[in-house]
Amino acid sequence: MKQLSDRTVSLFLALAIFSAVGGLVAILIETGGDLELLTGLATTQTAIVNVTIQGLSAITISQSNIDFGTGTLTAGAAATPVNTTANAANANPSTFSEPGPLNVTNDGNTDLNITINGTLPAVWLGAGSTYEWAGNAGVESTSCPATNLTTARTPFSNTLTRVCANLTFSDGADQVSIHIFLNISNSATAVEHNDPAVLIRADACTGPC
Amino acid sequence: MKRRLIILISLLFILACVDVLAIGLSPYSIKVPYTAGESVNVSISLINNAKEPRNATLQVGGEDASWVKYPNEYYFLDASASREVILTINFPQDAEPGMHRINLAAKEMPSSVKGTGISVFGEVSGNIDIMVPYPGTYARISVSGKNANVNEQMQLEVNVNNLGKRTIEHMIISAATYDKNQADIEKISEALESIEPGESYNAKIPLKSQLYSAGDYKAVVSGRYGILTTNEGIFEFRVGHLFINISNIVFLQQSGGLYKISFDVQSEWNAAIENVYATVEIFDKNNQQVNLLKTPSINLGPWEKNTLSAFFDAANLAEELYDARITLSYGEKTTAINVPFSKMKPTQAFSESTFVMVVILILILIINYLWMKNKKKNKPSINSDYRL
Repeated sequence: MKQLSDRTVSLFLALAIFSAVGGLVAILIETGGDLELLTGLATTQTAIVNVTIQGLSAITISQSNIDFGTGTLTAGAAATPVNTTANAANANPSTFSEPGPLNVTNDGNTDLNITINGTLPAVWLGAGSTYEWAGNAGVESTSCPATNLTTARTPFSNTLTRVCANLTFSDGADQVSIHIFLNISNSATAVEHNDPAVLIRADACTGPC
Repeated sequence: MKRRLIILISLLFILACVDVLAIGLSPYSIKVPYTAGESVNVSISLINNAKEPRNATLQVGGEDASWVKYPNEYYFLDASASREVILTINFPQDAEPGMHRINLAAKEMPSSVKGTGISVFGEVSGNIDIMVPYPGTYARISVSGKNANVNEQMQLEVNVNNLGKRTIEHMIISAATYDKNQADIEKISEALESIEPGESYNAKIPLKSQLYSAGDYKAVVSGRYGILTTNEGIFEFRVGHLFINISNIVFLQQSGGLYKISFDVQSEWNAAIENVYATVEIFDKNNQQVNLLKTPSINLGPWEKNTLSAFFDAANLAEELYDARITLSYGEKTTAINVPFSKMKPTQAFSESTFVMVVILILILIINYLWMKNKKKNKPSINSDYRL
């Protein structure tokens, strides 16, 4: 019996591989998605995932009470300054404490216009005292750029006054600080003094803020 | 001598725990279609992000607040939880056409209000917008887009709102663009299909970028439907090129022979440009370089303006006119400008002329004093004694 040459065997092998692969492709094309033996095969070619994210306007205020504690007014002085920015190195006079500023953080998914109002000092501290606030960049200076931020010391009034025109929301550090400054007149009476209503309001910037 | 009483006043503030306020409102903006005489429920959530429970209120305001019925009460919010509030809007049979806004305010209060120094409340606002359709057909148009660089693709994004009670058929949108001299650049028309009442249509109108060189432009868009025309929507945009302009060059003499040069740099490119710096060469009248300095490098955002400055010592330079060449480098490009620089006499803290003025002033005071003394000596004496 005549033996087949190596070349012929190679040709038969190539034909066999071509037939096997071609047959498999033909079966897959013909049967498509109906082929139950194949698991995990998508029955449709595309899928649509719908996700609707609701708008959220939210703020966090670091403290709900500014507490300066108890202290004595400076003898002989017309007024005694007390503020939230004071620290151990630059302390408030007497035993007045340093409560720190109000940190307002944007926790939502929209830019916010932050405003503030409060009670007039004559109402709760008595005549001759002053009561002011000033905005300051929070931990992230880009959250409220200087052009949008009121950094000047501003007297509290009954009407809402702008602190930051556009507090952004890009991450968890979108923050603006509000410092409070009292200049307590020496005619202030020796009783407990409270401003019962400082309001910090956040309005979503649905248009230009 | 009268003694002043020293008044010691003690201000008492009750110590309070640090409470965090964390209030949220979702969604903060809701659009509701007007349906005459019917009612519709709207759901909103009050959210407390604080780690402790809080009390909150919801207030409804605005001219049309009476349309809304809701449980006006204190809402107890658990820690890190939200609470759903259902608002029922009862639409009247007739309402003035146009946008009606109902204001919402969610307010959170500290756990204790009385006697806590300065009590702080947090409030977030929201709104419900109700569009009462105009009788007949009425549409408003607006246009927006983005700045671009030369040869980049540009398009106008046009929004048409049908605010009337009838369907708008076959609206033709016309867009025209102008350069800063009001010269025509491009005119485009596009036909829209029908827009149902209360619905809007967004169209994207491409612009031929090859018609726009670097500069400022304005697009004016309006729509025509039947015999009516919408308002005009206006969008101003800029086309940039990779160039940084130098302006406002100032040489400031500091103490001694030190000088500061500062100038404004303004990008005319609609993208960030990194590593922008300038070299300043000072040449004398023989065109010999006598000083070379380099400013720190900065990054410029799109169209951003900033200031570059550098110091140089001119103590050894003669007091004459020099030529300063500023070369601004950014990427592969440069902007160069030549300006004159005049070396001045160094400033002195106390000049000779000031010294002469002070001496004259002192002499006048001495003469005045002697004259007064002499005048007093010539007056008759009064023999009386006062004791206070």
